[in-house]
Amino acid sequence: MADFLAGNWGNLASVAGLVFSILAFVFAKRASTAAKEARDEALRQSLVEYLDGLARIAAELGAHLRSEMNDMALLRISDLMDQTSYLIGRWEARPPKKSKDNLSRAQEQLLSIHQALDAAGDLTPEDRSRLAHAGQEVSGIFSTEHGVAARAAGAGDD
Amino acid sequence: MVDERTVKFFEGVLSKTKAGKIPWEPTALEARFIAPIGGEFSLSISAVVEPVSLRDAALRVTIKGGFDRYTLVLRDLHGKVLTTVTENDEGVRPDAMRELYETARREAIRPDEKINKAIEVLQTL
Repeated sequence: MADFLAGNWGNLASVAGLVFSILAFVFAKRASTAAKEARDEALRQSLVEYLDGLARIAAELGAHLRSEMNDMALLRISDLMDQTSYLIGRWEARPPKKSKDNLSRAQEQLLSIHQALDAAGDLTPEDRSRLAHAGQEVSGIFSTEHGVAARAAGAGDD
Repeated sequence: MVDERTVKFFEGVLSKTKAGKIPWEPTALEARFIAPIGGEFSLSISAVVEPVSLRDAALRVTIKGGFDRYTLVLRDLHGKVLTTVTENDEGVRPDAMRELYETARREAIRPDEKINKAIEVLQTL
């Protein structure tokens, strides 16, 4: 036995080195996968929280439009436009195509509400009705997307 | 000089709109309609009345009126305007621009469906 070890210590050391290298690779891979999953989970959770905030602001916008509080509505529109841009910039690769379409619709609707409120002259009842409808749509979009993100985060937990 | 890309884009939007492939929808503005496409872009088309005032010195009358100007805008997901097409762009026929607007408007507010429903309601009275 001692002769065998003495004669083959180099080969045995190579085999042991190889085994340790493989084990190190496996553990590093697992650690990397776990880190990636943790990062994805954190991103999913922060997206849910962010969309929850946007849904709340959109609901406030709808209330301001119904109450004809135009200045407050304009402030909320500004908040929503800024934060939607941030959301798209930060999570651009994450939402599915349908969600991106919804966010585009929300942005365009917000722009139209802003321009309608900014237009000179008194708003007619028809103008008010269109504004309320557009505000409702924006609120619906953010609520829906909040639900979609929460479901995706929940699926990630399973 | 004709911008081939602009014309191709406009013709693409017109043909897909006529085929009912673009989901136009109303906005808070009466004369603007929007549609998201492909998860990357959004389209908007709007009509603005351009006031015209003609003074006939001999007859001492002023004729006031207006005509619609149409604008098609393409934006990216970040809201950045990528291109704007108007009926004044070379290669874009004004009647085609009007056709696009009217087709998008019909798609968005679906007046035909509503009129048919009104006819049905009338028949029940």
